Amino acid sequence: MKELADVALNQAQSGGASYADIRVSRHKNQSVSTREQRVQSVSNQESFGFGVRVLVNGTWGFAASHIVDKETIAEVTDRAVAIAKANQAAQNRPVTLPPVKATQAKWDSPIKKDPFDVPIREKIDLLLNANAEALKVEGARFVNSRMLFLNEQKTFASTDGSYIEQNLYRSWPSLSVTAINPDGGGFESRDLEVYPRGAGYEFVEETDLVGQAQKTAEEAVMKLSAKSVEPGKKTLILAPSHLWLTIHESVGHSTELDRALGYEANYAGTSFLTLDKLGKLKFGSDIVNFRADKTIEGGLATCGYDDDGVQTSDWYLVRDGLFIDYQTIREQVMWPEYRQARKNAGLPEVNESYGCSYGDSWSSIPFQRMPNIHLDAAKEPRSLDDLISGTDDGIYITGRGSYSIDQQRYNFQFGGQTAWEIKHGKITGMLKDVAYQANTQEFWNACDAIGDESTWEMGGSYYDGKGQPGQINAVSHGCPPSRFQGINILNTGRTI
Amino acid sequence: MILSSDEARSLIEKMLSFSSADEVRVNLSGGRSGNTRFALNSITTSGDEDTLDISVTAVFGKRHGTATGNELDDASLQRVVKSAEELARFSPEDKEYTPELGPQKYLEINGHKESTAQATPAVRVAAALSAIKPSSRKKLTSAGFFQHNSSFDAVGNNKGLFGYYPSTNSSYSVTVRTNTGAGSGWASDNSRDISDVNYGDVSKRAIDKARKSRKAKTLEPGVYPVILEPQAASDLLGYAVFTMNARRADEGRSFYSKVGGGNKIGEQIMDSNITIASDPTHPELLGSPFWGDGLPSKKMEWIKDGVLQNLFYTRYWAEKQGKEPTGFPSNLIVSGGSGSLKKLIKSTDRAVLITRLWYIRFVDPQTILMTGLTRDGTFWVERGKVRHAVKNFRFNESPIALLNKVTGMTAPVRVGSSLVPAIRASEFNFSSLSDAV
Repeated sequence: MKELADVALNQAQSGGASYADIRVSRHKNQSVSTREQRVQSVSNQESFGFGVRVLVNGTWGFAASHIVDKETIAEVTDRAVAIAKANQAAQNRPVTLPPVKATQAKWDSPIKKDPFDVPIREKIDLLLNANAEALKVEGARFVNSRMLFLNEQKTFASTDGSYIEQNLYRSWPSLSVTAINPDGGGFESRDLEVYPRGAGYEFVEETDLVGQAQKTAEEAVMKLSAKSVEPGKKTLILAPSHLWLTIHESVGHSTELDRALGYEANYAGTSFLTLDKLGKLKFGSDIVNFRADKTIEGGLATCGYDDDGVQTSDWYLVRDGLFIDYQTIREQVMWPEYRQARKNAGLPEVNESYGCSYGDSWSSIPFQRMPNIHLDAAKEPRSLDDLISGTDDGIYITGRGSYSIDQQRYNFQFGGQTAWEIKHGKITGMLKDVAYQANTQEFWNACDAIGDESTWEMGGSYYDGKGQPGQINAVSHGCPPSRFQGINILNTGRTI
Repeated sequence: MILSSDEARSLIEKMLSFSSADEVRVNLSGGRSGNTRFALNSITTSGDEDTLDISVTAVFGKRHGTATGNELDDASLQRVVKSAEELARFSPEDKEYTPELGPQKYLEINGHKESTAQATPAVRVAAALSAIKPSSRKKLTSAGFFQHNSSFDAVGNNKGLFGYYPSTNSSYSVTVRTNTGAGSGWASDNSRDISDVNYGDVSKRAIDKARKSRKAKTLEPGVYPVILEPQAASDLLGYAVFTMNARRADEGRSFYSKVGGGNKIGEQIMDSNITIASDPTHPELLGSPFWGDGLPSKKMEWIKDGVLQNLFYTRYWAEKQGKEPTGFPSNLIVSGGSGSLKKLIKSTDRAVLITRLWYIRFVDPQTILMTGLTRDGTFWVERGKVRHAVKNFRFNESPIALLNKVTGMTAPVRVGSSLVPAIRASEFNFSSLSDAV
């Protein structure tokens, strides 16, 4: 492989590139989908190829192919160089890269059981057993379940002298139950609150799909007759199974440096966290601390090195409620606006990227993607029961539901899988038609209590979209249950 | 990688020869694409990609499995076939399995335009400069994306079915923002023929919108009459159409389910001026002549004069319900009215004019209630004229409700793979304001 990589790196340099890298990767993905007692589909997908990125006179060029041999690599590298040269006519912000240590390394996801080695029949049986368990619940009419496994085998080599091999795994079991109202129409669905992990098949075994199927089905049925919510300002307690997505949308995307500057203006949008707010904006209340990291075991964005060849790490984005940093890749560290903003904020000068570069395939151009971002747990002991017992009039929301946020990450609306009424410190029953709307800064400043370490859980998404052409990124977010005061609750029930 | 019809047939036959399954289907797709991104009035990234996907579905009795790969040597191809066969052997029987189709007759559709297939990075640079240069002069900041691709799809099986479809596509979109961040405008164009993509006009429209959208006034959230420009209309209408799954409706878990059982086919569900169809042969759109399983695509009418005519039937569900399989809509054609957006605005007493919608998500699938936001050009129209920009809104609205309150439409225009008019409706629910520009 090193010999193939050298073809690209030498060819790029002889074409005039000041920097070049090549990623050769194999992407495997296995999916098993079922409904009721039927297997809908089983599939194994595999894709192999390479992408070459070159920097010529401060302008990027990229080309990729699924044919991995020396001749094609040389030809594709020439194409990348030609693209970089053609683009110089419209290059007004030349790219410079900070120095990086040449690295020879291997990194593997620390999995216990390779999901691709587990017999397909075992997976099918587990899903069908879980489906059967769900359908035992009276009123549960339909059930869909699925397992999805990903494996990314990636070799990165650069003209900085780095040669890095990585083997990443991700696993996700899921289940969803639908109940139909027997009395004249209407239906409700309830998804299992299990989210993907950067783990092997052991995550499926730990999930206890069969054991959780019954409760999921019971709550789908319960939703049919749940009380419709009274709208208004209320106290909100958000479970980790729900809050991870609110963190993702309102904190994760707003702290992306490329968005803050306008690189995503034509698609994903910009950010309200403009550079003048660095080190100055009170993002949340004093108890709010957001930590970015690409190293936590089981994290979907966890890896040893990013697609710039930079070793991964962890850092704070928000500390004691204050916005203090962004997510970065190598070229961003040299952006004059960022360097000046840090200086203005009295933050130390940085010359190293935080390692957030990622391309979702060998055919994709790497760019800045979100790391795992977590809300720190409270240091003092506080359970979910403590949060609820201290709430007079509120709603407790669990699970990922509807979610939407504007292109600068101010205004959001979220719903959950289940919503529960809290009256005088106790859960009194299930609610339906619940959504909440808020402004990011007001919302996080309304956070008045956070659970302790024992309540901290990690959720995450396989499919975070960004970029043109669109790319996906898998990312995890950990948090404890947290409480927010005076949040605007909507009733979403409608008839047409 | 683009294979000719003969090359695709030959590769499919080779794959079929590697398999001992009762039924085998091979799907091929591949192509070459080029793209250029720019932001802050400067090109940021740009690339060319060659791709190929080889997918094999193997069937033993009623057991089936699918595997894909993209390596062309015989050992790799055999590995894909073996993987599909192993998955099939270890899967239980599928009681809903529908046998592979025999040879089919497909519509004659040519979606390939040589001008697009021959496009180079130079045309992408020219498009970028059409926004970058004037933006730089006018204290504006542009960000955009130009892409083009030339690709093919092929399908074949061991029952003699074979289909091949080459196509091209190209698109350009740009967002222009004022340097103060107070205004933002967006525009786009797309075509299978790259020479039809008028990037200069697109850049001009985005610049014009950005400048006009400065000094936005606050309009309190509430229910307002609206004009959805074709892009905004397309953004929302898609959810009314792409949820027309017959099985989900018959199972009672869709807006299209009928209370007491069955579905709403034959019912008046929208205003009588709404007709929605799909047509893979429409010269402005063009779609593939076949679906992944080899089923021919065809012209379909989904809504006629507001009455639901059909839902999407898979081959299995069609057989079970005694219907014809429909496939998924190959595109979306909303018949609309006549005249231009300018004319529609001129005849409008008051309305919020919306360029496009963003981050649309389901709130309640029972009513197709969606939430999302306006973006990149939201204006107040009064007494036949655009008066001023207004702050962006979050909405909670159903496309079905919208299509029951239509008071005017323009002639439809091409938006992606759809033909959609600008739509004026008497009521639209804006639930809150957004500070986003």
